Amino acid sequence: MNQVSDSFAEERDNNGFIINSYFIPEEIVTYILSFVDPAPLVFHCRLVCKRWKQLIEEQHVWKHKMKKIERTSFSKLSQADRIQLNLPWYLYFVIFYYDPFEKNLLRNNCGQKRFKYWSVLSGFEEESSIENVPAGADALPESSDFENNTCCFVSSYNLCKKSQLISLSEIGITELVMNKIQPEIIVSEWFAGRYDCGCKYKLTASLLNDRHEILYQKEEERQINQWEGRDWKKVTIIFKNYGPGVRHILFDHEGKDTKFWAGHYGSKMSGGMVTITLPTTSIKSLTT
Amino acid sequence: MPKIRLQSCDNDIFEVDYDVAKCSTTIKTMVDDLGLDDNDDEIVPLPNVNSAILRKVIQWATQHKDDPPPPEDEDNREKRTDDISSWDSDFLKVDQGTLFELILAANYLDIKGLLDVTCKTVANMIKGKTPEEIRKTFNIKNDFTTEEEEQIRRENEWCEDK
Repeated sequence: MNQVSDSFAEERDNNGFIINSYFIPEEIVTYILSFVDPAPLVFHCRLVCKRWKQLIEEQHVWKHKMKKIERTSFSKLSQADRIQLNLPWYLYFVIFYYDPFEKNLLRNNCGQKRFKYWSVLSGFEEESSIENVPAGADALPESSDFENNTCCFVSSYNLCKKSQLISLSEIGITELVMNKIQPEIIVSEWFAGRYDCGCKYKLTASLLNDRHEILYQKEEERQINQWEGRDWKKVTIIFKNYGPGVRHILFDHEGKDTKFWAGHYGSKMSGGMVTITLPTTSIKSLTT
Repeated sequence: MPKIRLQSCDNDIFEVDYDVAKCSTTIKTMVDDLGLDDNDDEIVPLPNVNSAILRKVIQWATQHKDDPPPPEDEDNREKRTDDISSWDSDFLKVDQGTLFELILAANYLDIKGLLDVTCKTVANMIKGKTPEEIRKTFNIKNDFTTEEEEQIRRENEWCEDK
């Protein structure tokens, strides 16, 4: 091979590293790209040339970003986990653009904003179904689930039922992420009864498709006998390997007393959580 | 104040306060290892940096010599990436060639503050540009086939899909 074609081949190999006739080493191009916001990085820079595309689809650009920008999605990871982390680029993109993992997706989870974000299906009353501190039961226990609130919802002798819909598209969990990665979905809530009255509590979590049809549903039902209530307990529902097509999560809870007493003697609920776990193992690449 | 002498690749000698020169971890390590500050005759050779760029680097280091050292613990993170001070942004109103030479010098001399601010400046040049405009700005060739480009655009749609 003669010299001309040699240098031609070299120039082609280095396309993307020769910037305005300066050779910029790979690690510096990587570092520069790590300062570009996630959307232009993925949508524009990946289209510039093969070398840039390759760099953005590897780990280093995103590892630099992790050092510079804190994301709740990474909050469960130790320093060592962060260094070891090996996610596909499209998942890093979702995290840096939307940050949807490891955070509570359920809004107004203790009634701190009355019934905002909730659809009341039966029984709950705007004026009387929220207690600023639980009446006839223990105060809310120490847990970050309550997000520093002291209040709770309380049911009555009628069946009190309400729900909250979480649309995954609104929080940046695309169909791609759901179908390829199937992140673990954890739904939980705390409940208690009054010390002097028996009651029932039920938590139902459903995974819905884009037409709002139920694909999977799990429920946890509890009965508290009279004189046995007052302390707060937590119920948890976990979804794993649920298959493709999930676009919404429906959180639904209900309660009532078992004595049919006038007033609000039914189960109390607070600190509901819907969390999607950051998947760190067995992740498929975009093309598999 | 102790001074040290730096020699550029084109053999100019710059006498610099040690406080300024130690912004460069490379120089600081050399000086600390060799004890150069005890001997006035020693010169630190910098074979990868020319006079024009070394002058700029010294100007930047003089301005920033009292900056707190970059945090070593990973928890102490930067908040935003486009927070370039007005002094730095004036300092970096230079042609692209100078900007990239400063990046290479900052990398070689291991001056994290200068490397960050120069890399941010280049990243800001990418902002708001189409791939073709980015290629034009940096004189990069489009080496994708039409099919490859289509595949990337399809992946972009999957990422945006709601």
